[in-house]
Amino acid sequence: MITIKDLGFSYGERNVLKNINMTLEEGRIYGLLGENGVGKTTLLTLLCGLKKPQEGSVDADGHTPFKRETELLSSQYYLSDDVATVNMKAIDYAADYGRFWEGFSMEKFVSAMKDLETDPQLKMNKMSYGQLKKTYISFALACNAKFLYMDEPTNGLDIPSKAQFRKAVTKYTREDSIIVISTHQVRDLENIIDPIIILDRQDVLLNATIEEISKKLHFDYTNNRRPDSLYSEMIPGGSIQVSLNTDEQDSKVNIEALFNTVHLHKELIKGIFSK
Amino acid sequence: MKAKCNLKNFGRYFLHDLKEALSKSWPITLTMAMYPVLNFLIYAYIGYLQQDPYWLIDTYSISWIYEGIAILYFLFVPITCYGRYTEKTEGAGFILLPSSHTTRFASMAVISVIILPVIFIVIFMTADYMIFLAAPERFANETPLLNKISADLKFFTFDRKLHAMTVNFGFMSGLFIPFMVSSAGLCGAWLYRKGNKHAKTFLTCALSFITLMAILILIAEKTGSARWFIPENVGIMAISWVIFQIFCAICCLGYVYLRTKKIEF
Repeated sequence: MITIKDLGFSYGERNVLKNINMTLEEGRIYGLLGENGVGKTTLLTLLCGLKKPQEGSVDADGHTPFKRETELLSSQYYLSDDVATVNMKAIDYAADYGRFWEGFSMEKFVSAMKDLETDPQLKMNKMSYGQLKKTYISFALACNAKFLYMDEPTNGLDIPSKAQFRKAVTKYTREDSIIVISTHQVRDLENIIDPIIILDRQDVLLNATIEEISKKLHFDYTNNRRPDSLYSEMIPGGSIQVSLNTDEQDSKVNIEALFNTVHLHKELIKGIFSK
Repeated sequence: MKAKCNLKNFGRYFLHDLKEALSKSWPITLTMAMYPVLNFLIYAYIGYLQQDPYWLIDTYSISWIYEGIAILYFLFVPITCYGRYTEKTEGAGFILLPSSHTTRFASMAVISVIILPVIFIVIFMTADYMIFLAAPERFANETPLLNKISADLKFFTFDRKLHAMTVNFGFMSGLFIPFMVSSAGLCGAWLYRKGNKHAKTFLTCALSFITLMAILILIAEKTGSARWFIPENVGIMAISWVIFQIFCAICCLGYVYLRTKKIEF
């Protein structure tokens, strides 16, 4: 379990995160959403130990990430938004680096590479950006890490690869893993992330499971205009409207509509979900 | 059991690090260590242009160029191997690779300060001697490197004034230079976050050296320079110089240890 207590971080005068409190539980894939510059990457780098909290603390199974202890490092993997080119074949890279993670599986790496349609015999410095990203994604999944942090993993992937990514994440991750995936392209992670964390400037606007969201908000896909809707948008073949779920009706959560609703009604949503 | 495990982990990390360092450094190592060959070709070309069939390599002058090249190599090679780790993409991979900080640091220090300089010296001396063997008639009596080494590393010298063999403390003066300079190079690799780290490190070291020399000259002038050249004081100076080199290397490595422990991305 990851416990974040009163976490604060700023770049000089600019506060990015302030008084962040949350608990991340095993067996979940957290979607970390937010506009550009709200601190998604900063939060991920604090979680994996690349940055030291200026206020508050982060605790991952009793370890402080910034201490960078071998035991914690071998049970986590951080996939940066920008990946490094290496002058070696993907398969050799996996063999050379994978042995540092106790749970690393070469079979899993090769299988994930196959699912993501990338040749592991290719040299990494000859790969396109998308292929390189898929190689690192395969490596991250093959590490069998308990804590997996992915920063904008779908950036640079083409449309079929985004679908393959979603499949690979659900297929290759451990049941007890805590996976945090940050993105501002919410559609890319539809159907795999649960719970959803929406960050705003210095604040967490929402941290709730899909079940909790669908209990409290109703997503209407009909063309009937609802006067009480908090957010509405035309979509191909109709419209989508988000309103408070006062009648306890079931509906499928649309993450993009949720994201826009939360941003339009910050205080209202915070109030509803903090109860 | 724990010590055995730590040793195994260190071995695994060290081999990985060495492989990476060699793959990054071989172009600079080969280019600079093969300078004696290039130097020979330049002399041959100039001899050909001047239509001088009896051209000779100026062993004494070239030995200074060789020393300069070796010092530049010791300074630059740690930056070539570890300089990119202050950038987020590369640095995150380096810092978050499952291994202890001590292991990471010890491996980096051993590779930069001992292994790579030794590899360079071996190739450099081999190239120098092979050229000498191939064309001995182009050298006055010995190779530029042997000329330099025999002058610097002579343990006993014959003192004409005293008419006796004396210990030449000067042999120690060059002994720790590779370690001091490569420690400074490693320090530069981590000190500067961005930009041309090779140039920045070189300028910093050059300025530090000039400042140090200026201070030493001032001290010598104030105290009367003649007293520094009596045999007893030459020994003290040589030992002080060695202590200074070791002190500098320890300071640089200490900085790298703390910097790599606390660095944030």
